[in-house]
Amino acid sequence: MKAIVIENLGKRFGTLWAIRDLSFHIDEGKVLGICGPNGSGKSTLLRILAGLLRPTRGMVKIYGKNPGKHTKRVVSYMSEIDYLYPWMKAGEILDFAASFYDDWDEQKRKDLVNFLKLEEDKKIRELSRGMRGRLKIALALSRRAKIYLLDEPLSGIDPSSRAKILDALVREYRGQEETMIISTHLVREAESLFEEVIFLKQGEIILRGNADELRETHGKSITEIFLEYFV
Amino acid sequence: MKILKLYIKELKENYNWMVFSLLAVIAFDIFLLLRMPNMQRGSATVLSLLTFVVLLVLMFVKGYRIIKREWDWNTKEFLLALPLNGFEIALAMTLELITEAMLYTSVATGLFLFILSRDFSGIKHNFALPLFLIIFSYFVFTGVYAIFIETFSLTLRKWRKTIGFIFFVILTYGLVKLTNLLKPIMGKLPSFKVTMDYMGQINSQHINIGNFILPLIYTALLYICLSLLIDKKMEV
Amino acid sequence: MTLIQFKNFDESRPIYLQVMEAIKKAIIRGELKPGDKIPSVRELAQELRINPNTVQKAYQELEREGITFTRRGQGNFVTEDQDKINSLKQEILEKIVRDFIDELSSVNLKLEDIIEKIKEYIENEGHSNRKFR
Repeated sequence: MKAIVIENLGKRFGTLWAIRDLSFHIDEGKVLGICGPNGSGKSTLLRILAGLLRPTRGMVKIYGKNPGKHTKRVVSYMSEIDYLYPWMKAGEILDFAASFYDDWDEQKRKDLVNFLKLEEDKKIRELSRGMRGRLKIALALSRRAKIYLLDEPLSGIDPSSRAKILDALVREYRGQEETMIISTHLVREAESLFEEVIFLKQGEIILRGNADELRETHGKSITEIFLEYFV
Repeated sequence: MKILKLYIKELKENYNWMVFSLLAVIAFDIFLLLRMPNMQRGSATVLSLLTFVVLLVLMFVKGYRIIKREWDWNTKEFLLALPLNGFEIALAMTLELITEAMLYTSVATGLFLFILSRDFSGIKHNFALPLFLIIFSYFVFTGVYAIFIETFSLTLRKWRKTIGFIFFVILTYGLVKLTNLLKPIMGKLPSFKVTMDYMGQINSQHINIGNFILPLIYTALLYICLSLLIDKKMEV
Repeated sequence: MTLIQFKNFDESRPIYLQVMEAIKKAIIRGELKPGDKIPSVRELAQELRINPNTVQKAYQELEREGITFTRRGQGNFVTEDQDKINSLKQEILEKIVRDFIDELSSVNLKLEDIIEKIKEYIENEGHSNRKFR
């Protein structure tokens, strides 16, 4: 079953084409890593899938539907930037999100808050960078969503929080029912999670394949292949 | 219900500002009243008009801020990833503005009636209700108008301030023209009969209900346009 | 469980193969005995911080090779078939020897010298730690 189908996707901002001509599909239940430097179009792609941006041209289908209110119900998006209400407490934003998503899982939320050592009573503006990163992950993963879109979940975060986030991802990932897309330029830390990999450069796919198969054919880690292509 | 939750969040977010601005306005009015104990009989009108204008401006700022803040804080990414369509998001924000308008109107009306009864003790009248309704409709309209203008400029990629301002001017001009055109039709609507009885002198006027129906109609139209903007044009 | 040492796996080779190798080595070393339960997919994935589907693939391959079998609702277990385990030992031994010879072929030595060196090493160095029969 194809969870996501993208055909000839293009996205332009003014005169700049952030995404040129993208075509690929993702089967349900896979973890896809989208790797590329800043400005390669990773965030733009994820935002289009999340329904925050509209394609300039081409087609995007999530379980056969165009991104919109109905796909947002089953898609969990985690942005790269600080996008949470600074005046809310950590617990408040979790409660708030819970009221909008039917697939919210309160047990998962409790487990994640515990596991990530989140202080629910602290205001978001008082949290450290690493803590905010953990909160974002908790927010994204406390659901039984069908698709998870994680934009740079590890960037700008201290090593111990990164390790925690990776652990949380492995713990919570439910295999066959869930599709996960992780975009990152920190390939080394996340590559053991990827089943499929796409390399994006200036809005175009320059490499794609199964992670283990790529390792076999290139005789290198995904990180090394990445460096080869981008340095 | 989801819209309710969003509405509550807007209230929580604005609660400080709401309380603070109201207290500031009330304090300002009390200050003026105390400073001018021997004001002319027209003071009720002047002071209330002043308060009304101040609150109107505040409503405009409110409407503008309610959407601009989502941009400044980048929370637009969170908000627009929620499974809500433009109509639902716009409704939650509009309800918040209506709540504020309700509060502001109570203050403005209360102030006017208070000064009036102070300056003209013993006066009897029945214009509390029409006054309240008219002020309320103006406040609501102003707030929703502001949110619409700002949302429009946020959907632009370049020259937001310039095009937004031009749009504001043109739309305002258009609305004024439209209102003039509609005056004859409004005239056909029923009116409140408003009477003032002061020391035996009876003054009566007719206040057309169009005076508050029209702003509310405009508000409804703006709400629809706002919803469509959020639904179809808004990108994050 | 030696699998935990396996955390430093080599990302330049397919990960699922390495998971399979680690399980096989654990079986040969006797850390996993015939009939023992191997860690669940989730446990191992969390321990190693890798995709559970990768572990699943490795387990499926192991089962296909007859090294492990699944008991419905209970998990994956090491085979009790001794022949299978013996041929596994042979397989691993072959691989070790093959890799060893590949490395040595870059050093130009005679076969007798190589065997001599092996004996020398075992006698002098770590034979207290090794289990050679």
